[in-house]
Amino acid sequence: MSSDKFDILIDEFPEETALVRRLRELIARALATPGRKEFSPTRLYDELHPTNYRIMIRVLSSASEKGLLHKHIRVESSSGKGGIGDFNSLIDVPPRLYDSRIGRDVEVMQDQLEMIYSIER
Amino acid sequence: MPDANQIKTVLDLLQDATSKEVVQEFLKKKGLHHSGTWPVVREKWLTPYLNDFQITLEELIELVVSSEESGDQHVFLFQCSELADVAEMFDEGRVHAALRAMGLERLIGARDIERKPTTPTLVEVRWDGHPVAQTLTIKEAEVHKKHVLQKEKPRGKILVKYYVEQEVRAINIAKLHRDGLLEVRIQSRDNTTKYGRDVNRFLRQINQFFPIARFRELSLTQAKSAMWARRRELGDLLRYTNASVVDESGHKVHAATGHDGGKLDESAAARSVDFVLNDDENAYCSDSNLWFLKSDHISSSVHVLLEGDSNEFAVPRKCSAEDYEYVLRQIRHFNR
Amino acid sequence: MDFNNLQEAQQYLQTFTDPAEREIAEANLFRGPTVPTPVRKHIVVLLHGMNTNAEWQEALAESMRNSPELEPTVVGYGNFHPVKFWLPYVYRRGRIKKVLTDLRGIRTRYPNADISIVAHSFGTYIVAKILAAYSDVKLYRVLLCGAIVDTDFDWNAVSSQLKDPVINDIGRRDIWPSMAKSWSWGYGNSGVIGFQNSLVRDRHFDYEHSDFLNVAHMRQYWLPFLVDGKVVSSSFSSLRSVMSTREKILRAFCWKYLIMLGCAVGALIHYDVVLGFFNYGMELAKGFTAIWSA
Repeated sequence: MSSDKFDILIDEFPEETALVRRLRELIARALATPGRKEFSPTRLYDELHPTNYRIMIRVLSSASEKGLLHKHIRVESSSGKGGIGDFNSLIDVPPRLYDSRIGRDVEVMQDQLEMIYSIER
Repeated sequence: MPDANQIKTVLDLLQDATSKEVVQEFLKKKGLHHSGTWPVVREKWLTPYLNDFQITLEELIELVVSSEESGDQHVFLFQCSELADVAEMFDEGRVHAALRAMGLERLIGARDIERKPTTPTLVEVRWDGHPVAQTLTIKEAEVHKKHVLQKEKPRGKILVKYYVEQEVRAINIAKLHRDGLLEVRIQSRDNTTKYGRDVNRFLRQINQFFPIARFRELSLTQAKSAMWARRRELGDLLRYTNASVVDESGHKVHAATGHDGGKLDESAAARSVDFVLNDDENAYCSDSNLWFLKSDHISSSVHVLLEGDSNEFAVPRKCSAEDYEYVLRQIRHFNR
Repeated sequence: MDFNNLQEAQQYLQTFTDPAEREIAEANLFRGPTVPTPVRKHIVVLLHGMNTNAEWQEALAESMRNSPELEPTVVGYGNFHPVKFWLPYVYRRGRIKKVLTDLRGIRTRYPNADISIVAHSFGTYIVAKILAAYSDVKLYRVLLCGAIVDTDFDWNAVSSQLKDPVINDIGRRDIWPSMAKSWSWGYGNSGVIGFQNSLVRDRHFDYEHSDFLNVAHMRQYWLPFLVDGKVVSSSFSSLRSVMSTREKILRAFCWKYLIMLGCAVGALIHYDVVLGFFNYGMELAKGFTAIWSA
């Protein structure tokens, strides 16, 4: 994990130094054990205690650009049994998708979409 | 004797604004008969009571006002930590001046229960509490459009579905408490579980009264965890029907009762949720579907969904104002 | 999500040309409540420098899309050739008038709005001239970069027209303000030296004249000021080295006087040539007068 990138992040958001430090700790904790770790924006809000949601999104967007974590758009099965596809951007989500949780194609609805941030070694 | 048209109007409004159970609870408190379906409650109980002056139209109007503000809502909580800012927002002079500038001073203490404005419109501003106001409420009315399926008709290889559009009065509330809590209650829609757009729009509408930049979203994650962890000792208070937990890898465990009236608390499914929470220190309760049970403190069981945004909970059904306040107090208590 | 369906949301995101802003807009589609647009409109006028098509204005306007508090308005005065830039007063007045008309037009259309300005290079000169001459022009926030305004500009005289302190972004390696001051009249090198005035916050960067005009700088330093009035400090301000004496002399040296002196000396040396041109000019004038009278 490059501390330079976090320093750049602090330079970019000097008034959010505390938030960036908490992000660094969170990422360090996630990387300490093997396997991919995932966080919803809601979860990150609880962990990072930002000034407000908007600034947290800006910081995460910049962190994601720097490769410190990865953002995905996940299509959840309407059955509630888990995700059925991850995409880099909302633009990449197709109108129909195979729902592996129920075994058939479905039309993708807005309520099935979630944003996820992941961290992996 | 009240005018028959007036009675019909008020009873229609009451039926739109709240649930039969709320009305029955109102009658019960007065020691009056109340059982039956809606038509029975209207024709057999309410109308005669009105004609006999055992209840008044004013009381029913009051019930409409309080009922349409409670339940069938998604509630978003914010907190202002600067009490000086809160005091400033409460200041009557400031609120009067802001309303005067908007040409809306008439909204103070106004009573609007009928309007279905074509665009979201502020309809009431009031302070509650004596001798010192404890809450400042701003009320907005709008119209929600519901599409009800009427029929389906195949036309060759095409299936045509016909929907009737119904307009329903919807109420949104912003309520500021003396301790800095801001509740934003948005009336539920039947076609979505996401209310970001509604909340944003309403916050813009009321920003000069409650400048949102001075508030922070109040996360309810602590409440979710605490209530689930103590569910056994709170067995007389709460009944869980669903609980979800997410571990740090994003894996989820959902526990749900088979029967809607069942109780999740002592089951192996519930214990599997506990296992994940105990096994992974970074796991957390993501969604909870529970009921606050009827007791001496609450007139009937209230269904609550603790899910969605971090500061969001939903009360899917209409309830009395007192029952809503009780639920909010409990959630805040467990969120400490 | 804030759209009727997935396709609408995707179409909305595709309107963003800046990938970073598209990311933020996408995240905002999923998020909960946000800081809402204030009731009072806040218009940000973007004023370019000379000899440029000012693509930065479009880039800054794009980066403001995720800040619904702000409404960017691009104002221009066309391509301003260096020769016109150099000649004092003649061509400048027209440009000033054009921008003034635009500002007054904005005020007429939005009488209750806050109006801020971000100006670069010759745009800063226009802003200063307008503030000094037209007291009806009132601005909320003013941000200057590559400024060619005189360092002695009387900000106190226009303080009633300003709501917040002015930000002056200085490029340490910017030669053009010094060149403007040195080669012409009416300009200053505040874009290098700063104003050192209580109403102006000078902020130093290791930049050349147009290095400010990149999205990263705008997002980090300009948007917080425009949105919240927050002045994000530049770490370079405390780290910058003192200007060497040689550089000070080179920057302060007034080439225009040397040129004038050179022309005067040349005229004296080649008096007969100059007199010949003068006599030729007089004959031409007589000829035209005769034709006109006939």
